Amino acid sequence: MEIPYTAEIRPDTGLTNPKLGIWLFLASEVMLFGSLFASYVLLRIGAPSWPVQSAVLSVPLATLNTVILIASSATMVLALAALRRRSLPGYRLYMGLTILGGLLFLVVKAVEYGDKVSAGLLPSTSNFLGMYFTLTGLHALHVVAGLVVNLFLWLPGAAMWRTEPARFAGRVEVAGIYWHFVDLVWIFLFPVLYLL
Amino acid sequence: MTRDTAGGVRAYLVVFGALLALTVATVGAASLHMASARAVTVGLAIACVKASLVALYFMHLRHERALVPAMLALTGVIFAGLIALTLASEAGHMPGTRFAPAFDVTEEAR
Repeated sequence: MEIPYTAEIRPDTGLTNPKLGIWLFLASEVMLFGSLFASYVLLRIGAPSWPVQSAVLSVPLATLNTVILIASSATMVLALAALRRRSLPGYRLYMGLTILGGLLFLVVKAVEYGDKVSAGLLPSTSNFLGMYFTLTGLHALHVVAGLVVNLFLWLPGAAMWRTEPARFAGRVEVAGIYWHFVDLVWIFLFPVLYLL
Repeated sequence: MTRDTAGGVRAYLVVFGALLALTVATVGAASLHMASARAVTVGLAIACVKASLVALYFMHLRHERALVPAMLALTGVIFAGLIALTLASEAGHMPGTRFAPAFDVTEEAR
């Protein structure tokens, strides 16, 4: 059975089904991260003392990761723009850069985790570190999921461009909306966990 | 959504530059060692501006059909309720006293 409205607009919603689906999914993601942010706020305002976060964590590494993720978000939207110009090589270039950005982000995060673990700073060390590892770990899992989807769309999935270009562009757009959401979550994690 | 015009690509690059500048502003503001409440306000305000730029331009929310902003507004209301209820549960406590024992533990042990 063919899935309806994958590329055409559905009259009653004004959206394609994949786009409506990704926005509904992201609404549920807001509540997932929101509940963890709420837990962080509850633990922090209730704690007799709280560590100076910027002294425990590496602000330069987190700043670098912020720049990397913002850059990969920009290349993601440029990949979609290239498809709209019907330039598959342009798409491949920008999507490749997006994937590279995601991988770099994970490498920097792994270095950061390694530093913490080797210094004996574990999730069980304090409420702050427990929340830090939970929030950044969940976020890193989202980056991994986005990378899997982007890798598929970069290599085997791109074959659809020859047969159903509108549907393929729709897939890239939906994957992009998810990738930008991952960037958006980090935009809040960065000041909340590292700077404030 | 934004189409493949040169103007659209230029807008993406301008937003990218603005996001980088705001990241520098976030780190710069944190290095000023402001009072806690002011630091939280400034830090989260900059984060909200950055998030809005990503949502409006990169996620194309400004060109999206009304259903999407309406759905996100409902999510925002529920999220705000979640945070408000969390803070309300702490309203009866002075900051830092949440986990203070309600009775003398050593006395109880005897």
